[in-house]
Amino acid sequence: MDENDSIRTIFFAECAEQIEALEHGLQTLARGDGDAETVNTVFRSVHSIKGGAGIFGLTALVDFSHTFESTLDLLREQRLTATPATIAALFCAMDALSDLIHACEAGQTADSDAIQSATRKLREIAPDPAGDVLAESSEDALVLPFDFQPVPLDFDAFSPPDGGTASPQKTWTIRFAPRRGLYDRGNDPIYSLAALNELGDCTIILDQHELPPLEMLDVQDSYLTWTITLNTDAEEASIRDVFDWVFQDATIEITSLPLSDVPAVSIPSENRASPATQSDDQKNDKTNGALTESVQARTLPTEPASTESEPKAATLRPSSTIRVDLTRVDDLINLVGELVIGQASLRDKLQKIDNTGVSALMEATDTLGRLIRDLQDAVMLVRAQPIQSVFQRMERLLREAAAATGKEVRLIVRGADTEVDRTIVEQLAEPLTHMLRNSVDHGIEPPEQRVANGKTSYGTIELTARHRSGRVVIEVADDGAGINRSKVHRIAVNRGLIDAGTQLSDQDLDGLIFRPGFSTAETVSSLSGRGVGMDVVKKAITALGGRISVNSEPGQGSTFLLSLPLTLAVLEGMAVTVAGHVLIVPVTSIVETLRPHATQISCLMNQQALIFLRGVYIPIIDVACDLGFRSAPVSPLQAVVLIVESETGALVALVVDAIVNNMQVVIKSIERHYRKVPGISAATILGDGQVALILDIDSFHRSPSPEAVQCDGPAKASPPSGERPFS
Amino acid sequence: MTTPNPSHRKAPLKALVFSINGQAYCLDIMLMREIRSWAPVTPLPNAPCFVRGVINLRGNVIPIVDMSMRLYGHHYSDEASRVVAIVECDGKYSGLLVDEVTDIFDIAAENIQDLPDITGAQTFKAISGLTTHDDKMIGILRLDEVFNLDVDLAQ
Amino acid sequence: MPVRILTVDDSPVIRQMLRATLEPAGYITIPATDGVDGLSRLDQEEAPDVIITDLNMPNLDGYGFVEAVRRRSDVTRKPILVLTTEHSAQKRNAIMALGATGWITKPFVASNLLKTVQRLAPLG
Repeated sequence: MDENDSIRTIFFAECAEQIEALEHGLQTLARGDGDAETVNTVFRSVHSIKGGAGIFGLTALVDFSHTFESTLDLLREQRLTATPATIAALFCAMDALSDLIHACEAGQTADSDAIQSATRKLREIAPDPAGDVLAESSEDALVLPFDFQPVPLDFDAFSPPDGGTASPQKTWTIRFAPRRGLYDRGNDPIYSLAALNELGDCTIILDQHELPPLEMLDVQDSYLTWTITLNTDAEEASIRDVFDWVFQDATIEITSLPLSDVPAVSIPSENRASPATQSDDQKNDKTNGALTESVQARTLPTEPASTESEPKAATLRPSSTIRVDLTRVDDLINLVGELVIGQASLRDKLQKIDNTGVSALMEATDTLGRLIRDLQDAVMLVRAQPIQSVFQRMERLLREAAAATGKEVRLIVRGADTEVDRTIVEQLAEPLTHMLRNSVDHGIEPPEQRVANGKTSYGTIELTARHRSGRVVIEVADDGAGINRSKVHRIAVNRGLIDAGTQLSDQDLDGLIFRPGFSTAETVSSLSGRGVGMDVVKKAITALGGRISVNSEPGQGSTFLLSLPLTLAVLEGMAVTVAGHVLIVPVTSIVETLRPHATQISCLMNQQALIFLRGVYIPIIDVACDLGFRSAPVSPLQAVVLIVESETGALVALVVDAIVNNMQVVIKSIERHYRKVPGISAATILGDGQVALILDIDSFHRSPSPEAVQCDGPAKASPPSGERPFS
Repeated sequence: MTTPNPSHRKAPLKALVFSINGQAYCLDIMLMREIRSWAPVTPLPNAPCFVRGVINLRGNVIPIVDMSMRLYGHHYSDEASRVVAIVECDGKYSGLLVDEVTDIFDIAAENIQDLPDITGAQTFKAISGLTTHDDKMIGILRLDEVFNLDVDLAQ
Repeated sequence: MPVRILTVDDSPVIRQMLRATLEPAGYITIPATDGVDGLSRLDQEEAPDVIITDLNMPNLDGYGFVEAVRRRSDVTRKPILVLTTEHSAQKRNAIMALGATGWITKPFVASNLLKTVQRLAPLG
């Protein structure tokens, strides 16, 4: 693993956090709630970005953050006051900085116009461009990152169990200064540090004073030194043994401390997750890099270090977070998924034993099952992160959208701390962006019109997130003009989505805006345009297993409701049987289930059967035939029909033999070891250890299949039992 | 393309021997992961006829290739006594449904013969060479071709 | 990706023991019979995460093998463990000077070997 890459990854993750802190600080200042500490925080954020950028030789980033930092320094020294004009310039600089970071991360050149414009604005607000500050400190930009105090790094984030200090314990101080040869021979200081940690309670302090300025740094060389305080009952010989392989490549000084000097820190010795699990596809390419990475992550000043450094810790941004490699989290989630299956399988087997002692066992198994499910929920939460990060981006978006349209818009955010799966948070940014642009563009009226209608000159958009019955619900509400239904009707007719004479309820009319093909040139303006309409938003939300709906009140505004699952690793499924096979249908796609009456079924000339439901003809598809599990379809009258809705909103009636039950299923990839299977999105493992396939609802929405369900009577049904899909 | 398939080369190898339709075949033992007894599979829709379906291997969903069907074009009669050899190829796991596992032996490079020029059936592509053990002919399988799902057995 | 360990030893017993120790723990071993075979394995396979080698082997011994490995850019800084019956500091220093990471004294205790390997190449 390339160490540089991993440090780079850590740097950009850090940048994102600094930008968040910066934005938060600037918002506080903008509200007038800021104090000296707010200014300090804002300053430090930019300062850290500059420092990190120096390590990687990102000159443009160093230069701009330096300019930014100089202005913030004036603010810090109260030579500049936080007037609205100042704040606006700072926001503008922040946006430019954020763009610049993204460009650096992607390895692209930044938009120099935006940088220059932001720089100009910064210069304009600064009474004295502080050329001297600039000249004097640009030198140390490269030295800065190595400037911070040594931070003790502990190997375990959890609170230590009370060790019940045994009396023969002794405290040792070990200075460990590896030379280059140690690395050349494939060794790593971390091996020795980990071994020491196994001997007893360990506090390890990294000293990076020897790190030279960047231009003199040789990445192959050794600059770091560690000082370890070890509290152990082991003999000195055992400690020396730890360094057995590296004595010739390092300076090692081992001294014992008198007991009174023992610092009051206790770190448990178990520092690593247990190795050697049974999983076949562990992502082990991280190997030693993983541990190294976590150590580097900890050297970043995110956690107040240890008990001794309390006064200093107060200036650090307090955070109780740890950075964990995502693949580790996913491995953990997979293992817990296994546990769920294992327990279900145990229960299944117990159920088949006919014995009096079994009921107690069953009870114990059920208790175990509940615990495992709690564990699963807890583990899933590790992937969760506050929706804040995506909401925060919306503030900037709205500022830009308002500026572009000449409208005044205020954003109110609620429930930004609501947590959702990381992937969902990431994937939500784009649809939310479109929705907000859409609200500003089509919802909020121009100021003069608003005033004429007796509204405030500025429009308000409320962005709310909350948990509701195992899902997260996001609301985008504006107080604009509402959906113009006569215009929607006219466009829908023009686009051929409905007949001119069709009478639709308000709800159904509003729903038309999600239909593909609705949003075209006429509704696309400079802002919400870019050829993207609400159908794309709906598609993105559906792809995440979510649903979207709209409520609109003419003259009062519109409210869009998004309902999303909390995680993508499990799915709420309905188990159904089809020709003797158990299949899983995602519950979110199911609109309703029914046993049809003969009067509801009709048939077209190509034998395609249709079901008539509340005024709409819906095509019927026999799932078993479609998948090749059966050659002739069964009559829908003798089966269960599931009305499902695809991403595009089209409805299809799926014929299955029976519904078994609803269950939470852990999603397993088929492509991982095989390839994509048409009609199937993934698989899961049932309680009995058997694999069940999860239906890909969207694959059923295509032109009617040649094996369409025939409508002439139930006679053609074949027995619903095991025909092989191929013969 | 991470795991090279040593049966491509004429290099010595330790081979696991198994029978398919009564004929002996072998594979580099380094590709083998484990041997399991036959258990019901979950059939996949629209799969090639030699892909019997998928099984759960400790939480992984892996395909099972019926080697009798793959090489001979028909199912072997006595299903219950058959075994599944789990192999790893290009980081992916698959199960080979074979009659039984019979032997492990070392093949010296000089004892590997190229497949004679047999025109016709495409299934021969799945064999990289021949060798002899205990006076019997053994076909050396070529895994990547065995897993070529687009092969048309009708040819 | 699994963690792969190249095991170079002319004794099938030792190779088998290494495999029996490491594979149940979740590692994948790539056996090689001597230094030459070890180098050709490096050519054929993806770079291993750890290399374990014997000293006394035909064709190319452990000293030559370690030296050759350290000259290859793909594995130049990968840990190399030397299996040795030698207890003399002199021999150890010689092998360490060539670039080995550490040594394990034969006959080895399986749990110690495993622990050492787990430290050098932890599984996920």
